[in-house]
Amino acid sequence: MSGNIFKDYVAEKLPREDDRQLFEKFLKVYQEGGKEALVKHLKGMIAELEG
Amino acid sequence: MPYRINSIRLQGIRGFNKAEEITFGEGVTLLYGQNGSGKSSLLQAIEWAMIGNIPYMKKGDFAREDAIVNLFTKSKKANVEVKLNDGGNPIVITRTRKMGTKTSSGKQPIEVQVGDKTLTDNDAEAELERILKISLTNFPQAKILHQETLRDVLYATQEERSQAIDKLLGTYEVREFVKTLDADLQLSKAATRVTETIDALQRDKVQFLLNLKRSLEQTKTTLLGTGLREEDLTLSSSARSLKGIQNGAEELARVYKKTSREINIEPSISTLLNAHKALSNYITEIDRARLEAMSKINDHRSTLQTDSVRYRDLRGRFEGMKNIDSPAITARISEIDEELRKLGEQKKALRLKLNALPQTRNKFETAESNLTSERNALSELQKKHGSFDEITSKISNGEKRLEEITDGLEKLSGQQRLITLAIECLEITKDETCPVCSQGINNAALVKDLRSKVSDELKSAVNDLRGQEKRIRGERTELDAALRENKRLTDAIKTLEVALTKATEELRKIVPDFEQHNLDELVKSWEVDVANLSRRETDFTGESDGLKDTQRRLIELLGELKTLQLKLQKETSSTKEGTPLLEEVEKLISALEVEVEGYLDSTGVDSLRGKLSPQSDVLAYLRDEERVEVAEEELPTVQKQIDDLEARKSSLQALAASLQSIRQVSTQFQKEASMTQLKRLEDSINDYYSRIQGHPHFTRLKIDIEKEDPLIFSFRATSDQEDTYIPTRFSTAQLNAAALSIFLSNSEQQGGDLPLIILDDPTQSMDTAHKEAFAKLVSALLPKHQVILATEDDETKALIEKHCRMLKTYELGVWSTEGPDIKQA
Repeated sequence: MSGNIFKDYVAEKLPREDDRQLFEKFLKVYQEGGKEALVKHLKGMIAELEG
Repeated sequence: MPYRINSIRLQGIRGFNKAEEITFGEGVTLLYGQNGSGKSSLLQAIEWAMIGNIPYMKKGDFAREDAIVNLFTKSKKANVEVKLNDGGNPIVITRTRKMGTKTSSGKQPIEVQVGDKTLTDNDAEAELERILKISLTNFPQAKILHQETLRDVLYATQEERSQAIDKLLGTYEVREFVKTLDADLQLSKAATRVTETIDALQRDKVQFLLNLKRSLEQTKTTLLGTGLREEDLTLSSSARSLKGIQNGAEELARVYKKTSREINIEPSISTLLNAHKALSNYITEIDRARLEAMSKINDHRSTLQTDSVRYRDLRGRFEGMKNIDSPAITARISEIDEELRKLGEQKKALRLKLNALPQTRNKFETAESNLTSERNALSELQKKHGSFDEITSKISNGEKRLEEITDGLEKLSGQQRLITLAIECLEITKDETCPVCSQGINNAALVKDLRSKVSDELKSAVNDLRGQEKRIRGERTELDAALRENKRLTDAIKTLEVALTKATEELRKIVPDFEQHNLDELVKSWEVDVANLSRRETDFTGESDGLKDTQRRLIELLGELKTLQLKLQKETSSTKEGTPLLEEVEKLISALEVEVEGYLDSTGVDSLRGKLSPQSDVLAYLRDEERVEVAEEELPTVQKQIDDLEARKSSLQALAASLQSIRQVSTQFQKEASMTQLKRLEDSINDYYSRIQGHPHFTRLKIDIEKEDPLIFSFRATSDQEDTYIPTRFSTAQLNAAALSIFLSNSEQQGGDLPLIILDDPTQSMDTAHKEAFAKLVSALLPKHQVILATEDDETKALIEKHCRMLKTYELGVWSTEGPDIKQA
């Protein structure tokens, strides 16, 4: 993903602030740990919400 | 002047174990070698040194071990040094790594030396991007055409081909990001699980309470309908009732000799339920004790009746046997035993004789027969040759005659010699006068006469004597044999006479006057005697056994009668015998029958059970009443749980919606970015495509978006009039050309100050014409670009060598654990 172009594009297009924050978190996790880290993060979120 | 890679020094990375240094040409550097010779390892080393990872080495087995550090290197460390130069400003990039557990994790520090300046890690990478005017993130797709990417374009599914195009265009990571966010199924499952939990709570708690309350009301109505009052449906009332039942049970237990049971009865539902159960068991045990006692008395009575009948029977039998004289029986048994002993001895003696007679008789008869035979033989011999002395005398006479014959033969021999001499003398002298009497003689007639005498008369006399000698010698041989036979027969007769005497004595022991008997008849009579003795034995044994049996039965009868009488006397506590004793037994049986009557009555137990049964329903009612109370107390908490779960369900649905929005926008970006890039590269792609002889008719490539989420590209070729989907109509060589065109266009656009193109097996599905076009294209990339090209294909190598002037070739031989065998051609 080339620099901040993708980040800026998506952040600008998402209408809700919550979704923007969520996207930025996902992107950060993906950039730092790759696909496996993002899958793990998502599973963790779902598990936490499910209780 | 843009930068070029001058050289690479590498050790302990991928297929390289020992240190190697390769210098690159400014134009094309061709790496030629068979599969597995180390070409790709060298290209991967350049990529790793620049960006710190090797794409395609992240998932699957690569996540289970370190695929970067060489397996055989002793230091367990990878080290790559890449030198760049723009003609005056050298850059040295060094990256290292220690062997880890996964390919994609672990530290791998980079150091960049620019002039006197040395930078590390993020600073180093930022400086490289600044100087080379490239993005290291985009380095793989901008500089390297991986053989895996090309393979995906050529042979994979439509989605995988679209991913490969993303890789060529640099939008692959966005695709991966969007794909990873596809958690609809997980979210849906999680929401379902939450809904199921809410439903379970509703069902198990709320609905359960309502049902229980309804059931409780119905039970209460039923119980009141049975005669119970409102105040009976309380714990204290139930406790009182159970206490009453317990007292009744204790009283009954004493009657049936059952020990008392401690049962806790307090006005709490759990205690009362346990007490009810314990009382139920206790009453059952008491009833069992009643039945067991009754059974025991019945058994006693039955035994007494059986014994009474048996005693009466034994007495009757005893009456019938009391006249038996036991001492007389004993005496008779003794007599019989004595008779049997005697019979046994007689039988034994007869059997001994019967056994011994055949052998002894045989010995006797054999000796007798042999003796007769030998005596006859001797008699015959003596008839022929005379007695022993006569034979001896004949032999002696023969000896004398032989001596005489010998003398006669010697005399004749002397006469023969004299006559022969006379003949020789007459023949020599030829005298006509007798030398003795001086009378005239006829010499010739005399010689003739003498010769006749010698040859006829003397010869006849000698022959006669020799004939006699031969006959006498023949007689002598015969007489010698007769003498030996005489002696042998005489000796044999003596021996046989002794044997016959012995056999006679033995036979006489068995049959003293055997000469008076026919032995065969005698044996038969003995056998008859033995049979008679046996019959008598059998008769005696039968009589004895009968007597003994009578005696035994009498003893047994007396024994049993005595034992039974003692038992009945003990039962009736009396010393009576016979009929008086039986009367006592009858009395005892009657008393037991009366006792059984008392145990037959189960009214007490039935009454207790009748009282306990309704308490079971009352306690069930009270237990449900308590459950209702507990459930009503829990209800607010349950409702709170349900509300919390509803909120979680909403959050999961909100997250699903957010993910959907993010994926939509991200896909939109991917779509726009891809299309922008394709638009930007359109002319360049088509230029390259036509130069590699894409297709004679369809000369332009057209890549469009066919579907979103995931983004699928359609890959078409067009002419002035038509267009068609490449994968359906074109050869893989044309797809190969299309992929190369996209890569080269993108690479050219993102060249920066490092116009490097790395091609790993780029002609893998091309025919000769396409390969030649490709070689020409590579030549045309020079001198603007630096090209590093790896191939195993002889034809590609030959065509590159034919068309490219700025060429440096390395040949890689057979790989070993030390690493590739590299030689510059």
